Amino acid sequence: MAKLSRLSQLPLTSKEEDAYAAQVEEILEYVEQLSKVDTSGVEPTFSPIDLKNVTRPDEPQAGLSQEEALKDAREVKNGLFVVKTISSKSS
Amino acid sequence: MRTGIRQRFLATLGMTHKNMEITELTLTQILKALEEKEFSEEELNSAYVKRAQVLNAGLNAYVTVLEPYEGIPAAIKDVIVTKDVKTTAGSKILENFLPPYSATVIDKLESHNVSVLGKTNCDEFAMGSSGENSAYGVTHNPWDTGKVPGGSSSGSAAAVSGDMCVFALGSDTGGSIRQPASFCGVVGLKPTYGLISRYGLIAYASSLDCVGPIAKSVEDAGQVLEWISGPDGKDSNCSKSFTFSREKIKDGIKGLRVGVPKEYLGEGLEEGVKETIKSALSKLESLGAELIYVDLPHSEYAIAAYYIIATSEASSNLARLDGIRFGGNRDLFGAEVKRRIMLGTFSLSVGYYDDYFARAAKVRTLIIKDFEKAFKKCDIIAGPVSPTVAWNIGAKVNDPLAMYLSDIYTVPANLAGIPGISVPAGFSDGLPVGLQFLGPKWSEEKLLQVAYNYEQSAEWNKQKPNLTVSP
Repeated sequence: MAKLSRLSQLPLTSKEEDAYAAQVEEILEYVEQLSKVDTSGVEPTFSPIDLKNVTRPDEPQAGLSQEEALKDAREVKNGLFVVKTISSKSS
Repeated sequence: MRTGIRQRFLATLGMTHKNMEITELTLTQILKALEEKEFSEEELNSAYVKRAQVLNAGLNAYVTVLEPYEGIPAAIKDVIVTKDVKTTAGSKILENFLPPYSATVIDKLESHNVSVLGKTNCDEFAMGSSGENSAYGVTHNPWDTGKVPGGSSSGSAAAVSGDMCVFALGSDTGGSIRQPASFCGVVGLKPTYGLISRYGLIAYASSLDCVGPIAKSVEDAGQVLEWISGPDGKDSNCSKSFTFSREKIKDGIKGLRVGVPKEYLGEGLEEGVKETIKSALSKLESLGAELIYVDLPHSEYAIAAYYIIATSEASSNLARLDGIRFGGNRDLFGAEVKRRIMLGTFSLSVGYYDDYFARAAKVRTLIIKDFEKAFKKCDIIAGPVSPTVAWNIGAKVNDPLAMYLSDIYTVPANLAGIPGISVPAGFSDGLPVGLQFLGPKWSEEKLLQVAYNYEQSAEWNKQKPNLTVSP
């Protein structure tokens, strides 16, 4: 559960971990039934639409201005988004 | 409106003696009335704004109510971005989010003289089937305020049902338009995946999400569908448009082959709902339709496949909420959202991907093939939307799995990408029951046609919930 919380980037207290663990386990048990289905020779479907590689001409189109793109940011500096430091110390 | 004009106007609507309020009118009636200058857009907006403001205190259908004075006032689910108007997705994490752009569906509506009356409450990030997962409080069902309105487009359905808007937009990833429409006694349409651009729809599960109309009548739903459909160059899966023909939907349904899935009328379906659906099916027969039993053998696996695929896609989509470019910290997510992110992360993780995500995707293929086979035997499939009517607020909040199981009849359409519509079909225990029609991809016209024929002959839409607004 701790690993899952870290992978999902969802900080949980140990009490929350226990509570969610029970519920997630119950749901996983339910979805286990899919192992009963004979899927041999069946191709997976990842999208209900068959379109592939939809393209458009490489011409610039209107987009957000820098100001618009930055306006909801928590912290802005020099017209840039301020992000957390990525250091060798962090996990 | 002077008395003489009002009576002539009411006569045109065939309602000479009924004192009809502007807020009781359908979109279709309003378009005609505006054309004939029976009232102004200002009067129209004023009536709806007032009703929305007054009723919202008790129903909590809206997160934000605006005060437009022109255009046709519509309610928009708060997962659809509206430029400079707070858009929360029902979450604390977007409490102060002012989108820098509007969704394509909003731009399209505005080009057809629609105004945004407000942003409706919904389950957080569209994850829920009751309207209880919002960070902005529970929405109440206008038919019985102690009951849920359904979800996740809870506010949109409640707003239409309570005449707090002319029509609404919702989104449907596992039934989130059809189920609340069913619980609130209104029309809800989930289009074919690829008919409506998802640009500006806050993403939940990208291969399942669909924007669609929730409306007071089938004709209204068809009109809105036309307005919002069509490719915009911003959603690479959106490839087709829909042209609404008022004449075509009025064609009779004699000889229409209506498939009834054996799996949908069995165990698990509440008795009162079953009886209502059976009556509705008889009504279809009386209109000339031919009822045929069809098989959808993989139905029992649809929920499991859905909850693996949807949560996996959601875990990826919601990774963008990092609190850096917009929104707050991830600890602000509600419990249901956290649960689904973790389920999805698990299903996609190394060592589990094949057994969970990939397997679910294969079962999805089998479900698609079930429908393809069924549609060789019939034109349209009919059945229930939900195994029960609306339940008491609070009754299922502690049992997420029980909540998931209520989506059994709606998730298959999302997995298959096919369109579906819910129309009012009667009442059980005093609460609305919806009849669902499903069709092959791109069959919206046929769906609207059968739904219209049923609606006009059954007349359930003439009943409204008992809500009073003092003058």
